[in-house]
Amino acid sequence: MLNDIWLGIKDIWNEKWLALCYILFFLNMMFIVVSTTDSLYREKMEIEQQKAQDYKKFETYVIGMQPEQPEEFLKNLSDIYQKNAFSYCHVQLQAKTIGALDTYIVFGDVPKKLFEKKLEKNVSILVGSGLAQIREITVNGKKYKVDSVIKGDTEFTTLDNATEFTDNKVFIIISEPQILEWVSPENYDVMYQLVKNTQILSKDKDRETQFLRNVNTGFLDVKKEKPKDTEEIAFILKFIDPFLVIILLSCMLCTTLILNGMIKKRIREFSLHLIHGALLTDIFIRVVTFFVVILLISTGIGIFLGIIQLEELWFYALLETGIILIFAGILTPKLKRQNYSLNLRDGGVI
Amino acid sequence: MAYRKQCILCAIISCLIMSSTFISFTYCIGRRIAAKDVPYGLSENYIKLVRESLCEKSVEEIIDLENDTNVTIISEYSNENYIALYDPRYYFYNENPVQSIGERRYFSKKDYLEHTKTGVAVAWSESQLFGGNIQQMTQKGICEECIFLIDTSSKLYQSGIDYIVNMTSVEKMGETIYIDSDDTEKLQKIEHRLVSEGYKVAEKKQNTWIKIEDIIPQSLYEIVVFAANAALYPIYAFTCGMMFFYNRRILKINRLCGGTSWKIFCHLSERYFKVNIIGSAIMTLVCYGFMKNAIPQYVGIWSTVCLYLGHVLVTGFLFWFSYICNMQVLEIRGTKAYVK
Repeated sequence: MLNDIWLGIKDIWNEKWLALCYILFFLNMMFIVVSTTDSLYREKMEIEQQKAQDYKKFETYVIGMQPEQPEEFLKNLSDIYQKNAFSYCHVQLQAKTIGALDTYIVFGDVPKKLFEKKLEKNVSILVGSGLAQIREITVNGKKYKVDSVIKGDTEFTTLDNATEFTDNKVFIIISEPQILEWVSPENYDVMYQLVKNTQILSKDKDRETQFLRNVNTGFLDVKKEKPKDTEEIAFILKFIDPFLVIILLSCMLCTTLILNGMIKKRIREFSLHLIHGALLTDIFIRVVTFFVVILLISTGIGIFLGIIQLEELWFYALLETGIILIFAGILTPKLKRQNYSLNLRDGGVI
Repeated sequence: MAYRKQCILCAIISCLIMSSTFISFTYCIGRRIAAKDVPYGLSENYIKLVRESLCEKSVEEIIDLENDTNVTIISEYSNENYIALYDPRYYFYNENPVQSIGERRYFSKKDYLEHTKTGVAVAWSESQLFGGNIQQMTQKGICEECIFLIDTSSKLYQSGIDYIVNMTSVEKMGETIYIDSDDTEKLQKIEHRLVSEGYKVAEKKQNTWIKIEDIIPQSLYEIVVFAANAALYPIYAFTCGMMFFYNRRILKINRLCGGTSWKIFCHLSERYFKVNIIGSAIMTLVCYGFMKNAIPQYVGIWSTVCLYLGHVLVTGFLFWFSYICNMQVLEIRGTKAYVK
């Protein structure tokens, strides 16, 4: 067995140029297979995730200096946030001892998963774990007791895709809002924030059309956020996958012809080995070793160059096993069909 | 396997390699071209048009302001300090660096429909950009209402201009026009319209003639795709070599019967060349047709023909080279042993 492997490695040395080409080919080919499979999987997951999202987001553009009827504008917004929709704005509240407080005022029907405790009251106040000493908050001249403290430092993503932590933030949740009571009609910045951060339950199509109609009045232009494009998946499926199939197929066909020649070159050697008691399995192992070592070398070079990540190694191993099995399938009938005794005549290979 | 079959198999492999070469070239060139600088940072669908004959048309005579809301048009004027922009799809919305509600905004549909003399001014210093009173930066007749400021690092900035104005407020379109859209059909419609008004297509990202430096791969993915395909050629050379080695008996018999090297090659390779030339052409056509629908087409017809000819020449040369190598070994060893 060891002898067979040694002979296989010697074969590589004898066919070094061929081996080099194979190494170059397999190194690149395997990298393409692994990276495309990886990105295909990731894209698919992302699209699935996006489909699973219940709430629709919007893209907002400022096209006017100010709304024509700000009161009307806010009233319309309040109607939308009564059910199946919510929005928030980010403001700085002043506290006596702490200074500025990062505050999110959330208007509307907030989904349960966003805040663990669904609060019954119309106005409820949550503070992060870093601000547990706060007992009361005065907003709009009214005092509100803090309802609960968010335990632990939970991470959340704002709509600008920034990651924030809850520990030093205050959340004021107003479940059935009349925004006019909270926001002055001259505060255009908050209006913009509210429209920009609006999320509406995907099922509620009427609310969505109502929202788009009410908001697009010359101050802001709102468009539905485009769904994630499937360009990359289409690219891989229509472009890279056929490419891989074609190069693999041509490599396999090349290998059949190359194996013919390689066996022919060594047929006298093989015949002598068989006469001296070697089995066909030994010869089989010898030729397969040739390809196994080539694949191992190309993986090694990949790791050395940093192209192959160590976490992906199992995938490479799987791929290599597949390639070896295909080669073995090509090789076996070729070895079996040879008539070895004919090749011992004087005169050698013709 | 008989020699004839092996020969045809060689040709078929060559056809397969042709199609993979075509795909990898399209990929590499596509990425190269996509990475190239596009004026104003437009998308790769953009078309540049230049005025040839006198055209005094304004933008609303070319497009329908109500419905064509997914196009971006930029028009440049020589000897003027402004360019005109029509951008109802908010392509350049993020060029506004200061989002200040109530003070700055973007072009609206109302601006386009009512031909308001709105515009964007170029700020020359940072203090002007962030703090300056933007209403002071107006110019009578061109930009009477300034809606936001850009600085010189903006995509919209070109040297020599001070204003980007609402295109519908200008009476006629300029000497150079750039149009861009995601909707290629609409883009074509506008292109035809402009061409019939006396403009000429000067530049398209697609179908440009490929330069040598575009072929050289640069990023990792390009190198990998390129190298995987390039490695197939030497493997193919070895395949041909091994094929002739396997059929050495035929070469020797031909030799013994008095054939010269060239005559034997012609005799043995006739079928190979027929299949290779016809098969590769078919494969190229199939790939060309297939790729046209799949992704934006970058490779023009002449580049494809060059690629095809190059491939046939290279594979033919490799076939001939491996034949000559095998023939040479025969000469050295002599033919004595086979006369017996």
